[in-house]
Amino acid sequence: MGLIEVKDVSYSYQGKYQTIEAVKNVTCSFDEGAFYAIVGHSGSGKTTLLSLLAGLDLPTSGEIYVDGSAMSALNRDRYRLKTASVVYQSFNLFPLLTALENVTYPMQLQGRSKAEAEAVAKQLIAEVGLGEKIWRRRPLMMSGGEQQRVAIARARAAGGKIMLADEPTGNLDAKNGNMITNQLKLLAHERGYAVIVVTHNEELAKQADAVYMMQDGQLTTLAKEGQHESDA
Amino acid sequence: MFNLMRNIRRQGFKSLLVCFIGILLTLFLSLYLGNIAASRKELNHLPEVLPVASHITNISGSKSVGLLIDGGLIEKIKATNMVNNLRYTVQLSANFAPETPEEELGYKYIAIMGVNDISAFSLLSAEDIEWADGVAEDFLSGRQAGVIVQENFLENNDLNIGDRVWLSLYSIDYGEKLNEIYYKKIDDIALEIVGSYALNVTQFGEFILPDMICPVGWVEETLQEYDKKFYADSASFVVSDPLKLNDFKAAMRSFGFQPVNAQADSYSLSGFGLLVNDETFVRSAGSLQKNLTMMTVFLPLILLLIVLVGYIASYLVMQSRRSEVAVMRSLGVSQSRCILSLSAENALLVLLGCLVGLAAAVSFTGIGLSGALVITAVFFVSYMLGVVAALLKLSRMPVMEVLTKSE
Repeated sequence: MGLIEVKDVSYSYQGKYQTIEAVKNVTCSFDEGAFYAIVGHSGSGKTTLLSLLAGLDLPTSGEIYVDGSAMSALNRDRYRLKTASVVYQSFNLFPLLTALENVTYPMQLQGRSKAEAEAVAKQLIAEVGLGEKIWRRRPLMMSGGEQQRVAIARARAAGGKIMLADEPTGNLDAKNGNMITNQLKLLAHERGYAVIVVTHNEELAKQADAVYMMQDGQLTTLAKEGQHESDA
Repeated sequence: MFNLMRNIRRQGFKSLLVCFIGILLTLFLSLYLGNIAASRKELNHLPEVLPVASHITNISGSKSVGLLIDGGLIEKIKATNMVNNLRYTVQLSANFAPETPEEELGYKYIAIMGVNDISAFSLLSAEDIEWADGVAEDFLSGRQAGVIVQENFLENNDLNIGDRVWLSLYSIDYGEKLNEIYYKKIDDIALEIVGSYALNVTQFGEFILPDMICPVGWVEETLQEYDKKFYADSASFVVSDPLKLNDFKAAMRSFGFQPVNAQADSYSLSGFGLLVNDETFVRSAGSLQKNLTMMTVFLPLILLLIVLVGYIASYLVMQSRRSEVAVMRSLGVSQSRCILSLSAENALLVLLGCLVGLAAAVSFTGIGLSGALVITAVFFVSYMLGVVAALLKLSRMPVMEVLTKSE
C-alpha cells in the first residue's frame, strides 16, 4: 500500500456556462522514496489533481488516503502544515521576508522557537546548495534558481514526507532546472520523500521513477524505458 | 502573528492609507455623534433656557389678578409635582381694631396681600425690604403671624418695625354677580411688624397696592381656623418638565382648567383659565427634536457606511496580498488564523488612526472620555466587521489557482 492512495477520484466544478469535470475517476498510488512525474497538456487536469493531493480541495467523488487515513477525515490545514508541502513554478516566497525568514515560517507556525527554527533553516538552506549570504536576502534580490531552492528548503522545513511540485523548473534556465531536478530526486531517493511533480518538462519527466499522463482529466501510466504502457 | 509590527511597517504606504481612513472616519463619526449628543443636551437643558411659565386667568384670559381661585385647586397643583416656583397671592382688607371696647378708632381701609414668595408681587424685590433683626427672607413662605409694612404707612401711622398692630381682618368676596365687593370679617387679630418695604409706585392699574404683606400660609391657616374658604387672588408657576407638556396639560384639564378663550366672558373672576406660554419652547423643542430624530434615524446608515468602507478598503488593500494569503493557506495556515492575523494588522492601524482622529475631534467638539470611548467602540466594531467580511471573502479564494499559472 502506497503512502498516498488515490481511489476513483473525480473532481468537477461549476464553470461559467457548464459543469467542468477536471479529474475523472483517477486511481493511482504514490510511495515514499519515489519520484513521480505527471505530464499532460494544459487544461488536462494535472494541477487540479495536485491541488487534491495537497488537500487544497476535496474530490467530488472517490477518496484520497494518506498513510491509510482518508483525506476527507483529516484536518487538511494540519496536513499541509505537517505532512505535505508544495513547490510552485513562480516560487511564491513571501516577498517581504528574507530567505531565512521564509524557511523558518512553517516551523514557527508549528510552534518551534525562533532560535531552533533558524538553526534548522540554515541547515536546510545549506543542503539546497545556498550559502550564508542568501540568508538576509529578500526574494527580489535572488535569482530564480535561488528562489526555487529556498522554496524547496521551506517545503522541507515543515518536516513532512510528501513533496508536491507544480512546474518547478518552468521559470528556470536549463542549468538551474537541472539543479532543481537533482534536488527533487535527491529528496526522493536519499531522504525518503514521495515527490510528485507536475510538469511539461520532458527532461524532468525522464528523471522520474514513474510517469503519469493526464489527458482530459483521466490518468494513465506511461511506460518507462523497458516497460509496457498500461492503464493506471 | 509572525511579526505584526514588521508586517505593518513593510506595507508602508498601504498601512498609512488604512491609518488615514481610520482618522477620517473617526473624525466624521465624532462630529456626527457629537452633534447628536449636543442636540440631546440642548433639548434636555431647554426647560432651563426657555422655561414654560404658566398662570391662572379667568376664562377669557383678560384677568390674572383679583381672581377667585379655589384653594383646593392650588393644593391639587402642588400635589402633581408637575410645577415649580408656584407663586400665589391672596387679598385681604383690614382696619385698625380697638385694643379695648372703649377705644374709638376711625375707619381706615388697609389693603393686605398674602404671598408665599416676594416674587409673587412683581413690584417688589428682596432689596426693597428691610427686615427686623432675626427675621429671615423666607418669612413669607412660612405661617408666622406677622406683616411687612409699606414705609409710608409706618410713617403715617406712627408705627415701627417690631410693633404689634391690632387689626380687624376681612376677607374679600365679590358676590354672585361679581359686580359688588363684600368684606367678610374674620376676627380682630394682633400681628407683629417684622419688616418694611418701599414702593416706588403709587398706582398699578386696577391693582390695589398693599399697605401690608403677610405670609399666604398664615392666611390659609387662619381662614381654616375660622372655617372660611380660601380663595387665591392670583397664581403662577413654571412647568417642571416642559418635555412632558401634554401630560401636564392633561392633568390641568382633569382639575377643571380650560384653555383661555378670548371670546368668553371677560368679566368673569373665576380662576379656571390656564395660560401656558409654551409657544417659543414648543417651536424650539420641535426643531431640536426633528433634527435629533433625523440624525438618530440615519445613524444605522452611517454605521453601515463605516462597515462598507472597512470592507472595500480592506478588500482593495488586500488584493495585492492575495498571493501572500494563498501561500499562507498553502503552508497550512487555517482560514481563521489567516483572518485573525490580517485583522490584527488592520485593527492596530485603524486603532492608531482612531486615536489620532479622536484627538482632532476632541479639539473640535470637546467630547469627554466616555464619549471618546463610545466613539472608539462604535467605530472599531463597525469598521472591523467590514474588514473581517473582506478577509473572509479573500481567504476563500482558490489557493492553487492563485499560486499557479492557469493550465
